[in-house]
Amino acid sequence: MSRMHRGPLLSAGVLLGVGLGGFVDGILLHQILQWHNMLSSHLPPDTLVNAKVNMFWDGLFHAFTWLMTFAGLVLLWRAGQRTDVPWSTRTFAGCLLGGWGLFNVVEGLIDHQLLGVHHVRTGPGELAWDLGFLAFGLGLLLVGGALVRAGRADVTPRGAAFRP
Amino acid sequence: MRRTNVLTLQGLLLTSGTVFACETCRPAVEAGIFNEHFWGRLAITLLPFAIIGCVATRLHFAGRTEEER
Repeated sequence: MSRMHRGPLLSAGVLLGVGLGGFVDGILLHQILQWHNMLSSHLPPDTLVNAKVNMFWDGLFHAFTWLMTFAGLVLLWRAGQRTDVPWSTRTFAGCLLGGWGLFNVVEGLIDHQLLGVHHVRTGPGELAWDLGFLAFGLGLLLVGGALVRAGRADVTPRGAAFRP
Repeated sequence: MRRTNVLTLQGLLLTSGTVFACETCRPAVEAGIFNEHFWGRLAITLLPFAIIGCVATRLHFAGRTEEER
């Protein structure tokens, strides 16, 4: 039996998880709750012009998030066509959660902690919100990592597990 | 090629409906977007995605031996 490669499923799942996690941030925190915008600590959205400039950068953020999601879909489609990629639900679900966690950790460390372009919720206790965002991301990474590790046992390629 | 893509994206954004949504403040919004901070802000927006892209690339090729590449 030829060697199985989990890499294509891992990258597809992580990119889709990053995309879906990014949309949670953008749709929920930027738009519905309006807790922050992309540049809200550098350019507070306290005038219509500033709000619209922030809206532009939020739009670019969403555009890159969409590209991540699209890349994940392409990779998933390609992985599904290969016979050497195990089609593991545990691996894929773990990557989705891990990708969301990776997004929170990378975005939280760079944008919130390092550059301070925005915070999860500006105002009193903003550090607590930022740390909570990071902790949630780390939790997702841990749970996702555990699922991915459990998925090592899955070696069946797509379609082989089901018979009509 | 990459520069062409960036310029195309810029052109699309410049002609998009976003900047036309407020007739009276459009020049101020454009000035607020396309100022001396533009490239720095673009880099800030892109940076997390670039890092994640590197991680995903490494994962994609995880477990492959040299001869398989």
